[in-house]
Amino acid sequence: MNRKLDRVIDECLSRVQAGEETVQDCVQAYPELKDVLEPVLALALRVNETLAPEKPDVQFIRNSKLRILNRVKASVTSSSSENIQPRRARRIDFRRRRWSTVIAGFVIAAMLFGSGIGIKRASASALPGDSLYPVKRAGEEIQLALSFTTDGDVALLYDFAESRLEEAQRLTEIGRYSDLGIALEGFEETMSMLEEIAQEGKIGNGNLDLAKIQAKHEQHIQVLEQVRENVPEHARAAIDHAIEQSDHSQEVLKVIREG
Amino acid sequence: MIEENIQELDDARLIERAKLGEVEAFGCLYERYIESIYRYIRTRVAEARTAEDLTEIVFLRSFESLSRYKEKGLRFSAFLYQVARNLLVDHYRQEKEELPIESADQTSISPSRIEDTLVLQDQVESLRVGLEALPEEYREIIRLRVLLELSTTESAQWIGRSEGAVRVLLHRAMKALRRQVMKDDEPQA
Repeated sequence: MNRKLDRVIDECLSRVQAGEETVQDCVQAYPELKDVLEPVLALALRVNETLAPEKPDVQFIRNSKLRILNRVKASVTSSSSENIQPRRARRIDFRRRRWSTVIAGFVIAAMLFGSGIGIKRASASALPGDSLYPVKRAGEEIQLALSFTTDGDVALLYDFAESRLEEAQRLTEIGRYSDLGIALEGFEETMSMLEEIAQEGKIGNGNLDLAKIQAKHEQHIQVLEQVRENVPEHARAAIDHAIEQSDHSQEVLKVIREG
Repeated sequence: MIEENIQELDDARLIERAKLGEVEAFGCLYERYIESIYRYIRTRVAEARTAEDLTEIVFLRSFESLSRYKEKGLRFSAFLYQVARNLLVDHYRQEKEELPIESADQTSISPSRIEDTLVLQDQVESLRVGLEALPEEYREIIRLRVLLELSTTESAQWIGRSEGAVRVLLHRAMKALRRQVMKDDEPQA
């Protein structure tokens, strides 16, 4: 009898939880067990309604997945689950090209003077896909090449990263999703450069401390998530990638910070 | 060549791929089980933030020990559950105390009147106290079968018992809880 009762309680609970039956349906199906079945099922429902835990936050699921997969990726690459490495393949040795950029910069500057200073101003608001956009990016390269301190490099790189995010926001506002990839690639490239500096242990000694930098990363992720919400499905993969990159850079900084 | 949709692969295939370093395969497993693992941990810690942190660690630890995981009839969700339980033991050891099965701030009911709130608080308290008084194995089966609504088969896998044992445990646990709640509802002499 007890075994039958165990089975009936269990099966009825499953059917009630699945919404296939009510407590009353179960009681009617087993009238001889009514005295035990009814209060037990009613109590189970009450416990569930009152104490069942909520589902995880959607934002948490997404961010946590990115963090976990970044760690997994790093451990797969380095064969050590504790060791987080930046994605070297995407890193750019921007210092090596500093002098060639300076020379190229002077040529561009001369051209800009030749064709009117207005072009440089106009290029400041240029978006990816605009004819003046390469001028804007070249101008940034020159600024970077003319900065000779790590703090200066870091500050400029964060300015550029923010500039790429503003471009992504603007492109989203005007519906130019096809150009979004250029802005996001620029953002990721900048993040890779910052990771490189961080790996060399040169962040944290000057005016820009790691805490401030981490706050910036969090802001970046917020902006990217806002952009993500406003773009069609097909454009989201590039944004996810950029979030992943920012998250990865933040993780690298965190590891460096924690020693 | 026919491209395989990774989302449609079963756990065993995903684990196989994840072991070979395919990150996306592990991502699929994460998506499959994040909700149940988070909700299980949430039944055992008071703060959502703590539950989030612990859930993340469960998945990281699971990946680290993936090479040691051999299916042999054990579902991946049961493997994650074991990792979660071990982690919770460490967590309580550090925190020095285990929190009650649930805290009142999690209820999804939002009463509009003060009387309703008081009645609800009373109910929550009564259930909470009743659950706390139960032996751990009774509380655990209530967490799995009643709060998380896992199937009998899955609950059996998670706790490593037979389905028959789960049915018996559930019945006994609910009977014991009922006794506790009734005791609590009795007017004080």
